[in-house]
Amino acid sequence: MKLQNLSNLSIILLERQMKKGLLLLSLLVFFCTGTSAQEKKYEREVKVKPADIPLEIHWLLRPYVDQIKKLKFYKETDVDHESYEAKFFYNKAKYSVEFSRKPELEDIEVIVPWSDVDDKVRAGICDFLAQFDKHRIEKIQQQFSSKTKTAEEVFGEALTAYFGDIICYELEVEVKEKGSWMPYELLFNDQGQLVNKREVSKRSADFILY
Amino acid sequence: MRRLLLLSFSFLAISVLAQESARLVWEGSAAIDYELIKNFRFNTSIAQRTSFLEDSEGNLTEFSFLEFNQFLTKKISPTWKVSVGYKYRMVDPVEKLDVFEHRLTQQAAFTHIDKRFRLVSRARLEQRIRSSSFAHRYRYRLSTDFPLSGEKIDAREFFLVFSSEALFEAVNGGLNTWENRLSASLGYAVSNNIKADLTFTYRIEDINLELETILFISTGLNIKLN
Repeated sequence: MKLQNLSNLSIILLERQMKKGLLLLSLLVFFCTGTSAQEKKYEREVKVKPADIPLEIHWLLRPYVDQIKKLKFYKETDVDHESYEAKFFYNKAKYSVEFSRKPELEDIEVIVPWSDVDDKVRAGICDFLAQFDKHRIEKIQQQFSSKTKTAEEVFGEALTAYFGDIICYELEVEVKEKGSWMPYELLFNDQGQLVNKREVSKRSADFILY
Repeated sequence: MRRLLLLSFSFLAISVLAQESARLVWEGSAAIDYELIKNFRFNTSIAQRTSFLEDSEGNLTEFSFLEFNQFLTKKISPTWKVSVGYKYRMVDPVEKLDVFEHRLTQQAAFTHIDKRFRLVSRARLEQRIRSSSFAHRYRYRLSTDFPLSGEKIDAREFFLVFSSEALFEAVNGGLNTWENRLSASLGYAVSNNIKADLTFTYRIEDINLELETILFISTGLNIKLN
């Protein structure tokens, strides 16, 4: 009898706890809806079909199509910016070619190892990173762009890794500053001087951790 | 490749739903992730579970619990994260006399690959304190997650998560057991800070004793505050 009463009491307690839980869940959903509505700025990269890409990109890639591997096209949208991107492998290196909506070539990026970075630039990067307790370079990309040269000329230089007058280096790094690890995107010019530094957000690890 | 992975997810989902002999369990959870103290991330969640069981007379019964979880995580390098956690679980008395459960957790996670496909190992120690028993649990999980479109998970995009976990449970005064959990999740990024997921988990319990399989369908909501 006592056991039965205890059982009933526990069920009542559990029901109360569940009601509280559901209330908390509702609050979370309400809060999350509010947060979502406040977020106005977003960046989005969506895979698109070749037919949805400006012809200029196809014309640019056409002479090299036999050597290009794993070609994929993307459309990137931001609040005030829209662009098209072709990503592929050429001579085992990973390239991305970005065109604006107009369409005009914005830049060409290629992932390179640390050993391929120009000595002067490497020294500049090392000097900059020396101010942090620790650092880890995740990715280095050579960036090709030009206001005077044609898209074909810039693309040709990028594919042959010709060190012209337009190379920037974009680095994805994590640095330890004031005791915490921070992810940054750094842009260095061809003289090894820092041109831009911005904090980036890493992919959420909730699903992986808990 | 994308189709193949989606097919894998669908296959696991159909396998889970098509099983007749196993128990079917639904779990719903909501979590918030935030930085309250500099360099430490907090993760607070509540979850409820409803399990459908067939008793000896063939009647379908159900039992439930409600739990509260609190985790504290410190990133000690770009690849290593360590966490401590506490769980309080209020169990339906239908499941024997264990009406409460406390669980202490210590874990370390290591990121092997952090590109489009992310690969992470997680080793976890748990001390489970129930009304009538105490157990040490040792867990290892290998997970991978990746976006279904593009190279990163953007707002309004789907992603997949696959994981396999081995679990050894040493019960004080009881029998030690082995368990394996295979899971596949389809996630959706509502925004950059809000993600929802539908997960199918196939648990193979008591591998070294009388093998039992349990099928989980979970729904979750994860909100990152800062």
